[in-house]
Order: sequence, then C-alpha cells, then structure tokens
Amino acid sequence: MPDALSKITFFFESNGGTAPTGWTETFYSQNANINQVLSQSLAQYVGPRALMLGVGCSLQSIRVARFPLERTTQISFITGASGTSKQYTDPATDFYDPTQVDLLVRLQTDGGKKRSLALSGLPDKVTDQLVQQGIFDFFVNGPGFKNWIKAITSLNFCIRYRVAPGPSPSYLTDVITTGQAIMVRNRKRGRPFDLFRGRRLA
Amino acid sequence: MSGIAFSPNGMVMDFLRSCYTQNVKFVKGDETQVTPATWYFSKPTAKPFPGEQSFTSPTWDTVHPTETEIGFDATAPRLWSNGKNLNHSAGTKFAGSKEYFLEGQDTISGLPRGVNDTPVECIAKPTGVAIGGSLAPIPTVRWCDVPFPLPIYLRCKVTNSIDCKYYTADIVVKYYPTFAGFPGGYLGIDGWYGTYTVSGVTFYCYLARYGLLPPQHCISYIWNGINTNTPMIALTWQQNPILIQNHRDEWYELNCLNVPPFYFKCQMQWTEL
Repeated sequence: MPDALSKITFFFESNGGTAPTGWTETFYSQNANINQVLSQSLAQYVGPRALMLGVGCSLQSIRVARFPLERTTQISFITGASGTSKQYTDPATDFYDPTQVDLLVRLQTDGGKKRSLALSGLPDKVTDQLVQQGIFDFFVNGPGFKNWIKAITSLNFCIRYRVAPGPSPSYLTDVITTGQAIMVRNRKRGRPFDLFRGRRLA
Repeated sequence: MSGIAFSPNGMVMDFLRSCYTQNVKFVKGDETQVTPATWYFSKPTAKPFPGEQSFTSPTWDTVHPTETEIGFDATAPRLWSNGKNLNHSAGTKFAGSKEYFLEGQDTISGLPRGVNDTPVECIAKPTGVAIGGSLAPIPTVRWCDVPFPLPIYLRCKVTNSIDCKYYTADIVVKYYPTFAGFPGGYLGIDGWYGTYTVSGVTFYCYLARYGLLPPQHCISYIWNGINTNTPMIALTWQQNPILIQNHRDEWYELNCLNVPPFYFKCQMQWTEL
C-alpha cells in the first residue's frame, strides 16, 4: 500500500486543576482530501470515541494534515463532545481515571501489521483493576468499544510503518481491519520523576 | 508583516504549547521572500481558520526539518515568544484572499493596517466573519440625513469606504417617503434605486423624524399623485425596521407653509449574509 496521504490527530483534554492534562491520538489515511477526511472523522469517529470517555475529559479538536509535507492542514473544534454520556453500562457519573492507567489496544491490518494504542480517558470503572490482568468483559463486549473499532475500520484509518531508514525514510500504510483490547496498563506521562524541575546549581 | 497581503488576524491556525517567532515564506513561487511571523495564543472567542491553509507550525512535522515552498521555514531559527496577543482582534475573521493562506500571495503587496497592526478590513464593519467557512451576519447601521419636505425625490448617498469590502460601488439611493396606510399606518420608505452592486444583502430601513416642526403644520399631502387635501394630523412612525424587498411606486408629497426645513433621519441597517 502507498504511503499515507493525510494524518489525523485528535486532541483530548482533561480537567487537572491548575494544570489540565491533554493527549493526542493519531491515525493515518490514504485519502488526500483533508477536508473530506475532517468531515468524515467529525461525523463518524468523534461520536464513538467521545462516548467512551469518562466524565471530566473531552475530545477537543481535530487536525488533519496532508502528506507528504504535512503543512497543508485543516483544523476544527469539536463542540458538545464532553464525554458525559456513554453507551455501555457505566453510569454517567463515572469519572475518567487520571492515574495514568490506560487500556492497551492492538490495532491490526490484514497484512499482519500491528500497532499498540494506549486508550486514555476511560471511565474509572473500566480501568479500576489490577494492571496487566486483562480487561472487563462488559467493556470489550459492550457497544461502545465495538462502535469505536467499527468507526476506525469504516473510515479506513491506517497504520503507517517505516520500510527504509532515514535520513529520508520511506513509509507505507495498511488499512486497519481489526482491533482488540489487550489489557489495562500503566502509562507514564509527563516529565520523569527522577528529572524533577528543581533549582539548578550554578 | 509589511508586504503581506493576508493575515489570520487572531484566528486559530494550529495547536501549540508555546509560542515563537519564525520566518515564513509567503510569496507563491519565490522562496526568497520571507518575513518573521509570531505565534500567539488565541482568544476564547477565536474560530479555527475555515479551510485548508499552509501556515501551520513545523512542530507537527514527522520529519525534521521539512522544507516547504510556502509557510513557516522549518530551517529558520525560532525565537521564543510569550504568546501575548498582538492585536485586539476577537479572532473571528481573517484578512486577505483565502487562497493566499493555501498557496501564498502572487506579489509583494501590503495590507492596510490600523492600530496594533490589525488589518483595516478587520476593524470596521461590515466584513466577513468566518465560522467554519461561512459568513456570519453582522448588522451594520449607517445614518444619513434626508432633507425634508422638498425635494420629493430624496437622495441619500452612502459613500463606499474601504471598510465595506463587499460593496464595490457607491450606493446611491432615492427615498420615496410613502404612506402605506394613513392615519393608522406607518411611514415607510420604498424605492431603493441606485447603482449598488450587492448580492445576498438584505436591507432594512425605517424613518425617524427629528427637526424643528412636526409635519402637522403641513396643510395637505399627496399620496401616489392624489391630492387628498387632508391636513396631516399625526404620523405614526414606524418603529421597527421595514424589510425592503421590492420597489413600490408609492410616494407622497407634503405641501407645507412656513415650515422651516427639518429632516428625516433615515437609518439603514443591512445584514451581510
């Protein structure tokens, strides 16, 4: 498959008091019409993804860049996607888990290419268990997770992988066809603890 | 920013953690023309730029540096900026041609700028407000004085100015003060003649009266050419804007005695769609 023609970046934000945290989730597409990719993502992906978010975090905006130079870009804000309603069994009052515990998801193509995606912002009820001990059945069998995987595959989101090293590396992309929840796992974000920002000695 | 014929003027162009100044290439086909451009944090009212554009940050490039023909020069040094707003724009409208944001401008030509480097066309009304690629209505009110009672064919000229970018010619309007109903009706105006070249614009208009003497001092009036010889007693002034849709051949004439000139105040309000 050819290289990607557009890159879709979703921006998430969660309330963190004085320092709200945020993260991005990125996919690739073989559609060079970034305006179309943006509108399709808004219509088909944002809803299922936002429905999996716990209370307190939200899907804020989308940025679609056209390859290969990635500079021609279109951005959009997302309104009304606060993540306060969910399709599966969690009550609406279930807050997301801010303790750096994410759901490890494996996305795979027909060609066998794999990508691990740390799914953040899930409700506490989903991630509230021992890490590396699997995942609750109610989540993987619920419509929320399935709809999210369905959105990824229906939009032909791709995995991009490198086939030749740099300094001018070359890439190929394959369309994601399946997604599988693996386990709940710690995911450290931010500055490492042993590299704290302290007063520097002159 | 001299020599640049377009400006985002506070609209959201990209998502960044911190701000900086870096050279941008802004002329189509001429990568030697560069000028420093500064990122700053947008206001909460700011809207994303409506459409594709090439002036995003190289921060998001996968390969560093990625050299492009238009946009920020990824090989140029960056100078940190504190992100302070460079003007007072609400970030809801851009200046210049939309194509320039994608392909660059053809030649070096400046953009008329006002206070705080804000493009002039973004300062005054009416001008386009971009919300997702569409234009939001901005009511704009202009006042002009219409002498009364004579001549019958009153003229009002709204001088086109640089802030009316969508109005390409002077708007010359003849007012025909009419009674659509008397005495319980209202005084409206009709007959918007002129050389205005406006499309997609809705005009609203009503008359308000001010002056030294009210028109009841007039002894007669003519409505649609018919002299009714009825003294004018009272006029019911239309308080709400009248939608001027089509010209109607209605007009009236006052025959007044010893009435010093007084004036109608005509308020024109148009909404740019």
